Amino acid sequence: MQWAGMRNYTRIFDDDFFWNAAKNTLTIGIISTVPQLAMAMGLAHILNYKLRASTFYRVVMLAPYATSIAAASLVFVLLFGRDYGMINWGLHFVGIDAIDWQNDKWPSQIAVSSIVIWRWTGYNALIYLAAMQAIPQDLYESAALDGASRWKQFLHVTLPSLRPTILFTVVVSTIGASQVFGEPLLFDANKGASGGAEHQFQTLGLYLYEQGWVNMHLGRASAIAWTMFLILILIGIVNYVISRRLRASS
Amino acid sequence: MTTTLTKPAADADPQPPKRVRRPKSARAGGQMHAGPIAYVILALFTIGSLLPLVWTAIAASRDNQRLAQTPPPFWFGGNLFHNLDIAWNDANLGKAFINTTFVAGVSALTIVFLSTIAGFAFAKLRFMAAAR
Repeated sequence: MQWAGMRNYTRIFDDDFFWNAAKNTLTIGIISTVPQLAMAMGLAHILNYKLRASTFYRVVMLAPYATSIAAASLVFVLLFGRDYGMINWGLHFVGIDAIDWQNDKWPSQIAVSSIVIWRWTGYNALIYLAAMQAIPQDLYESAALDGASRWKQFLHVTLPSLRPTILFTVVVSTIGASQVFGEPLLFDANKGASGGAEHQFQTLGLYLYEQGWVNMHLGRASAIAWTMFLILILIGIVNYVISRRLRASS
Repeated sequence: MTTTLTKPAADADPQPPKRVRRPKSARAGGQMHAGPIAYVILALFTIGSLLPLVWTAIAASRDNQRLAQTPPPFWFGGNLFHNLDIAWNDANLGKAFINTTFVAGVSALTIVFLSTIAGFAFAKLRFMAAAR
């Protein structure tokens, strides 16, 4: 054994696979988190109306959350199959040629993100719904008396009241997105940890796993883990500053 | 963070007492009935949430050969008990069930126990370097 000094960290800077994984983590994170939270907000707004069978919808929205990553990824691998998958079969009717959801870069990242979106949208919607139900009715009444339309009420009453909740979901989703691991691991049809043949959907968590458990470079894996932690702290600081700015501006 | 989420929800009154002077135009937010568009959107989300789950059940009742054909199967086949037999006998599903139950039970009990006493400590006890 040899003293490696900071070599495990310095080699990260000219490690193309690391930066590839970092980029993939960022893009998959954006593709999965932004639509997920936007849809969750819309869904919560609808669930906040007086509904028939509202309990049914709430249970349904939470069903994906109760599914394990392994089961969800298995289904989505089958659904996203290039030759026999249901999604390409459906696209065929709309006149879109078969998409290679495994090997093409953006389709594969969208497919991996869709697993994340499917599992977490309902969960976030229920969090938003709980916060929406705590908004006092008087605020809406006075807004309506002042002539605010429903859309204006949503913008100027609902959204500001939900600010702490939105911050919470953004932080939790960001942490989750930076650690996406199971979905890309199990989405790979070749059962490797490389995130596809050309590392096209390898995330940082998956790269860490590949370095540590496949290539047996535990030192490098640990260095990657610490670098991920530092990136997460940076994101946390940015989040904090933005939320401070938002609070100060109102 | 969690407290700000759950506490108001618990206090929330699902049906606020009816006020006498409430103009019709002022009814808003949680008071409004959902329109047909809301139900259409909800139906789409319901299908999207349940389709992968239902399709897993369909796939569980089919064989590999049928799953590798277009169009994919849309209804249950007759292979369910054969697949269950393989899962139980060859893939050792029973053992996996026991393992899962054990891990889930022990971790859930431990988490609830530790969280309860830790929550009490954070809320009630004074100690060095506490938040307040």
